[in-house]
Amino acid sequence: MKKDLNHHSIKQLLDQSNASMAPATLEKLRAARELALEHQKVHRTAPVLAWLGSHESHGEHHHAHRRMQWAAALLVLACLFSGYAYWQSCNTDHDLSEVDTAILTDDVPLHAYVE
Amino acid sequence: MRRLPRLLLVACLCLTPLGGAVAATTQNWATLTPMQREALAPLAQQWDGLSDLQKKRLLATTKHYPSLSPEKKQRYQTRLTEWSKLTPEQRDRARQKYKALRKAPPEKREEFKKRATQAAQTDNAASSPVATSK
Repeated sequence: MKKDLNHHSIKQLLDQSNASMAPATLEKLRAARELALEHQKVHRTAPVLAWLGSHESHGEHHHAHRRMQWAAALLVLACLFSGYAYWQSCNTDHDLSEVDTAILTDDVPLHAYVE
Repeated sequence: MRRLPRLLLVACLCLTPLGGAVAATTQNWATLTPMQREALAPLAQQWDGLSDLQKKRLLATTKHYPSLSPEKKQRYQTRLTEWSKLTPEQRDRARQKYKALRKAPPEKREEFKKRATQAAQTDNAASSPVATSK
């Protein structure tokens, strides 16, 4: 006999089987179900509990982390600014030294540039 | 961990050009290299009395000194004393004038050179003992 199995028929079959089971078996099944549910709960809550347990002062840690990020950003900015200023200063110094040397060695007399 | 941001901030301040300026050192005549002393020989007596900026600028020009021709080396040394006596404004004006002239067309530069040379010759003639005695 071929019968289509759907969730309704499965439920009926389980209910019938359930009714015919011994009370001790039913008790074991209930305990196993509860254990499975409990296990599922632990799995779901474990990361949150682990996080809370290992980071007692999460707020403080978060603020310190933010401060670190700001300080690092500031350091990068200072490095960039300092590098740019140094590069510009080198360029200016180089240009000035070239001009000064040219004035000091030019065949045009010095006072002609000063007047 | 809590002190780290402060340490980073101090590092930032040290990296700023202000920090670099504070760390700048003064160069006395005794600390100059033989090449620098040779180039700046006419200023040996007054070197230590010059401002730090002036020393820095003059030392920068000595980098070009070894590659100059003997004639230009002599000209460089002859003009050093006069150059160092100028005010910072006069030196800036001279630089601006030189830069402007460098950009000018060759004929304009030649004309400027001619007039400047003639003016120098006139000045020399006027200040020479023969001219003054007349």
